[in-house]
Amino acid sequence: MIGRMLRNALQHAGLLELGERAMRGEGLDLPDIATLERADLLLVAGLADAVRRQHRGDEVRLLSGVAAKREPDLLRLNLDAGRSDGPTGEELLRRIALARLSTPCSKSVGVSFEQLGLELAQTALAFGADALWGDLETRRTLPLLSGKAARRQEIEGLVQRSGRRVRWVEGAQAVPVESRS
Amino acid sequence: MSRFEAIAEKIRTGEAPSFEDGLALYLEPDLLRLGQLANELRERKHGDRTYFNVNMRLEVTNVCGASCSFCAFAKLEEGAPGARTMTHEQAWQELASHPDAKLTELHMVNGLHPDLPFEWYEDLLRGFKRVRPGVHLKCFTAVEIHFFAEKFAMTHAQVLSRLRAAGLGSLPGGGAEILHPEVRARIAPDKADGDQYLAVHRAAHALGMKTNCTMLYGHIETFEHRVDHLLRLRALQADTGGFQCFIPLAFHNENNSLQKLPEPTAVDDLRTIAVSRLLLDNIPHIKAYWVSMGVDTAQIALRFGADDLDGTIVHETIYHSAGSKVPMGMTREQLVRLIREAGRVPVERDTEYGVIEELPRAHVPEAAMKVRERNAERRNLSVFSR
Repeated sequence: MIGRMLRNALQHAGLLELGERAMRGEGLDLPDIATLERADLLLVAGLADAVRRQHRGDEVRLLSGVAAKREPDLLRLNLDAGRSDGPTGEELLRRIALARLSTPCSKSVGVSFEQLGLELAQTALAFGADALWGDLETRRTLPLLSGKAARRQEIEGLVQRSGRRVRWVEGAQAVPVESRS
Repeated sequence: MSRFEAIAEKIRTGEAPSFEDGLALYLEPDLLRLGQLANELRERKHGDRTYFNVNMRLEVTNVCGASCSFCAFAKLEEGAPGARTMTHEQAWQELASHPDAKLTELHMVNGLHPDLPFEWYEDLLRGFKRVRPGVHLKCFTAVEIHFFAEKFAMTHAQVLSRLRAAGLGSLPGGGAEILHPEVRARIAPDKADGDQYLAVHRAAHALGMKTNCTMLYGHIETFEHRVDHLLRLRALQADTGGFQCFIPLAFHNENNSLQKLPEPTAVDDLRTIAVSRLLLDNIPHIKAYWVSMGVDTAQIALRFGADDLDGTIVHETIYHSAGSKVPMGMTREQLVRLIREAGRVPVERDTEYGVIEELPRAHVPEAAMKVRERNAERRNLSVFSR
C-alpha cells in the first residue's frame, strides 16, 4: 500500500499511475525507468522501499561465501563504488532503487557490503535492497572475537538498527539469526 | 490523520514542535518519509542551494585539563606522550602557508591548557590577523570561553570582548556534547555544563556575534536526551536569533574510553539530520559535516534536511584521533562535484553565510539526456552481475 505522503508526492510529480503499477509488482519498463532517473531521489527511493515492503517484507538476507554466488533468486548489483571519480553515494542509491523497481518482485535485490562499505550498504536497505552479500573474513579482528564473528555481529547490528530482521544464508540453507545459539 | 502527519502539519504551519513530537520523529520507522518532510522544509528555506566554504582547521594545543570520555584528541598534561603546544610562530606559519588564496576562514579549537595566560591567546589572534587579515577567525568553543572566564576571573562578555578586539570573528559550535546533565555528568564532568555552554552563546549573541551549535550523538545518550538538547538550542535561538548553523556530530569510538560502544550508523546519521532540521526550524542552516559522517552519507544527507557540507578543512585531527577514515581534507572541486551530483546548486559562502560565488547546477543538455535514456536499459543491465 502506498502511504498518504508518498501518494501525494507521486501525484504531484505525475507519477501516481506508474507508482501503482510498481506496487502491483508489474515491473517497470524502459521509459518508466528513464522517467524515474530524473525524478526526486527520495520519491524514487520511497517507491522502491514501498515495493520492497509489500513484496519482500522486512527480512534482510545476508549472504556470504558460496551462498552469495549461487543464490538463484538474488539480483546481485555490481556497483562501480569506491573510486574517488566513480559514482557518488547518491547516484549509487538511485541505481539500487531503480533496480528494485525494474526487477521482478520474486527476486531479492542485493548489494555487496564490501563494495559499498557498511554505511552505504545499510542505507541501501532503505532504498529498496533486501539482501547484503560479501566476504566476512576481510576485516580487522576484535580482541575477544574472531574476525568473522565480529564482522557478522557488526552487520547484523546494522540491519537490526535499520528496523529489519536478519536471515543469514550460508551454503544452501537459510538460517534465521534468532534461531542461532 | 496519523501522528506523523499531524506533526508534519504542525511543522508546515510553523507551529513549535513539542518534546513528544521530537521523540515521535526520532522513533518514526519510515526513514524516507522523515527525510522527505525534512527535505521539504530544507527546500522551502534554501531551495537547491547548498553551502560550503574554503576553510582550514587548526588545533594549537591538545593539552587539556578536562577528561571527557569520548575524546581521543586531548592529552592531560604538557610533556605527556603525544602532547603538543605550538608556538605562536608555528601557528601563524600554518595559516600563512595555507596554499589556497581563496581561504576565508580559520576554525581553531584547543584543549583547556592549564598554564597559558590569557594574553597568549590575544597575541595569537592578533598574529593571525597580521598574517592574513582577510581570513575570518572562528575560534574557541563555548567551553574554552567559559574556561577562560573562570580561570582569569572575567565574565563571558569580558572574555569575548577582549578576544574580539584581538580579531575573533565568531564562535564555532563545539563543546555542546549532550546538554542534559544526566549524560553530561558522565561523559564530560569537568568542563562547562549545559547551562554554561548556552550562557556563553547567549553572551556572544548579545554582543552581536554569530555562533554555531552542535550535538555529539550516538554514545550513551537516549533519544529523549537528544530531543531535550535540540529543544534547549531552539529555545535560546528563539530568544537571541544568533545561531547560524547546527551541526550534529557523530560519535567515533577509537582511542577513547568509550571504545566498547558501537558508533552511530548511517541510518542514525540521516535520521538525526532530518530530526534536527525539523525541530530547529528557527536555525537557518543544518550542516552535514563530512568529517563526522563520511563523504557518502554527508552527500545523501543533502536530501534529508542538510544544506551545508562544511569546507575544505585541509587538516583535521580531532575526529581522526578517534578513528575517522575520511580524508584529512577535500578540494573545492570535490565539494562542488558532490553537491552538483546531488542535484543541488553549490554556493561558496563566507563564515557568516555571505555568498562568495553561486556556481551553476550540473547541466545535463537535452541531447545528453536522450542518449542517457537510450542507454538506460543497457546501463541498468550493466550494473547486474551475470
